[in-house]
Amino acid sequence: MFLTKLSHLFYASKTVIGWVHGSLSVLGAFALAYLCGTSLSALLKGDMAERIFPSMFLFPLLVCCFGFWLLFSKNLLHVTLKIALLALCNACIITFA
Amino acid sequence: MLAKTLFFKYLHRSHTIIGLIVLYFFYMSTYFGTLTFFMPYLKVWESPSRHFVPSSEYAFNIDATLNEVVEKYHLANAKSIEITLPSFRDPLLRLSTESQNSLFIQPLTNEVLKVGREENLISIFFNELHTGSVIPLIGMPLMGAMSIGILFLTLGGFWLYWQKRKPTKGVKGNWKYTWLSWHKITGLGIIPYALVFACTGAFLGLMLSFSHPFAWSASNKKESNLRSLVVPIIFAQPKYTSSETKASMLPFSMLYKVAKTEYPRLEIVGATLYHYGKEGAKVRFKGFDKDNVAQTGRTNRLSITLDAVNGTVVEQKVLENTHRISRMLSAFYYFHFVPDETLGMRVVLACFGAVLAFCLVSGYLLWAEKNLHQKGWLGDLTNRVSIAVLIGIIPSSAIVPLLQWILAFDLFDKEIWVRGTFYAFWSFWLFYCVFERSIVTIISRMLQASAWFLLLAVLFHGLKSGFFIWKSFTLGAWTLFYMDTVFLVSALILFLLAKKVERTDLFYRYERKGVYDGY
Repeated sequence: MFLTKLSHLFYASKTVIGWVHGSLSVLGAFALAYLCGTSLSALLKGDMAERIFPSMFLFPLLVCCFGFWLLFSKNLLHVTLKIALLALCNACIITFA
Repeated sequence: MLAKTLFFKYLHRSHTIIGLIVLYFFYMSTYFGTLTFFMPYLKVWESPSRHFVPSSEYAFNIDATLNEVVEKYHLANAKSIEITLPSFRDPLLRLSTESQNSLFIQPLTNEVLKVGREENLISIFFNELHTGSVIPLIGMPLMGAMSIGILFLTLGGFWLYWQKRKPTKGVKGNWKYTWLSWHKITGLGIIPYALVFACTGAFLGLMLSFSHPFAWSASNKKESNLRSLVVPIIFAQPKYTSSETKASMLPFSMLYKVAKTEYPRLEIVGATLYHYGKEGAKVRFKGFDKDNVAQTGRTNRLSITLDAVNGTVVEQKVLENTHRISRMLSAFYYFHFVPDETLGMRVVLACFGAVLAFCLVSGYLLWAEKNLHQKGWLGDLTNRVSIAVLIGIIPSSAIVPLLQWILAFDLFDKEIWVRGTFYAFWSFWLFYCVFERSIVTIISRMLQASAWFLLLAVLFHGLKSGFFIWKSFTLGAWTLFYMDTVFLVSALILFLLAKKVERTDLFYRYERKGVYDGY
């Protein structure tokens, strides 16, 4: 019963955006923007200022882009998958760059 | 992929909800931010020691005074002495060192002034309300996050407009249609302004204090403190050596002239004296490039360093030699603070700020219209709280300049009195909004109270400083005259608005429902 409800919550497409979807999109957007900025700082070449500041300048735009990307997901599963995959990808860049 | 109708629905709903969350914080930030565009002029108006008629182009000559002041206040022992020259931002000349409080010199009489507790009380308070730093720890990052919210709303709003470009059908006289039109017109009009101020606001509010992951990653996971990593690169200070042997220096005015001749494009705003009065003493004149104000702002000043003993050029920092991140940072600061721009640009930006505030209010009213015909307490209560925040802020901030001139300048805890009254008065309006049944009466009294406070502020300013508006006009103290005029015109507009509110049908509609009629 519980599993059925959970699977419904994750898979069901909704006509109106819910609070969980919205909150997850906002938190996910901030988390992914931080992770992408951290990856960018790891990849950039130059002195410290040249490696850190571009991430800082881009951060607000990254949050918005990720916010829209997560928002336009069919269901919660898509939101979660997008966050998890991109977080994993960034974690690899940060670790091995 | 989402269906087009769902796509629009999601975008619309997220725009509404994020808008309602961001509205109150960002309205506050916009309101006080718009006021702080006039901070240099407000600083002069609020401070009695700046009540004099400055000479044309803020001329000064401290040749005779400099030695005396340096000796009397033991400034020569300091590593360097910073001199901020008189300007429209502050007509007084300021001497500061790392170890002492700043000294202020009246440039016409060369008298060292005691500015005490009059120093920038209103302007600093309004600026803190704008940045959110009045809320300890979380205030500034919160305002930074709200700026990102505004960025999301701006981009999302434009997207919504693009999705549904056909004109909305509306009945004339339908307020929902009216607010939607105004929200759209003002929203589209301020897109560049909102983008610039939201991006720079998010950077200043959130990124400057929460960029540890970027610093940690860039330093190969060794250091997470941004300041310790970048300050030595972009704010590197020159190091000059000297001996302890005393030497006579050229007069400051002569060095100033040499600097102007050698570097004509440099608009000098200040100077730093290194090893004053000793052999090897240097003077570094700093300023901005007249042809490139944005990239040579407060964080990337250009300079020319002269040997203070013989006037020869030691070093010249031109725009091309500066770090590209410093140039970018300077542009970021410039677009947010417009530090070296005078009245014209500030008035234009303040107008945009007012339009942004109206855009936020019209967005709220659009939502309020929907709730007007729905049962329940939410609509009425949010209307009342919104009035307390959106309009209540006007009388609460108008009482601040009045208190500045009513309370004694040597009152030990004046700052606490002024700030405390502001918060107490704002809380009063919140309670009054729930206590008073008639919304029209609430709005009208708020506007009338604001008008009276501004009027009385001008009166008490005249009484205590002696600079009544007509005296400022005859003497040519234009900053004081303009500030008094702005206060009086604002008071008049607020009086007229208060009268208009009582005669407009719109506000009576909100009185149909309410706490007194039961939900």
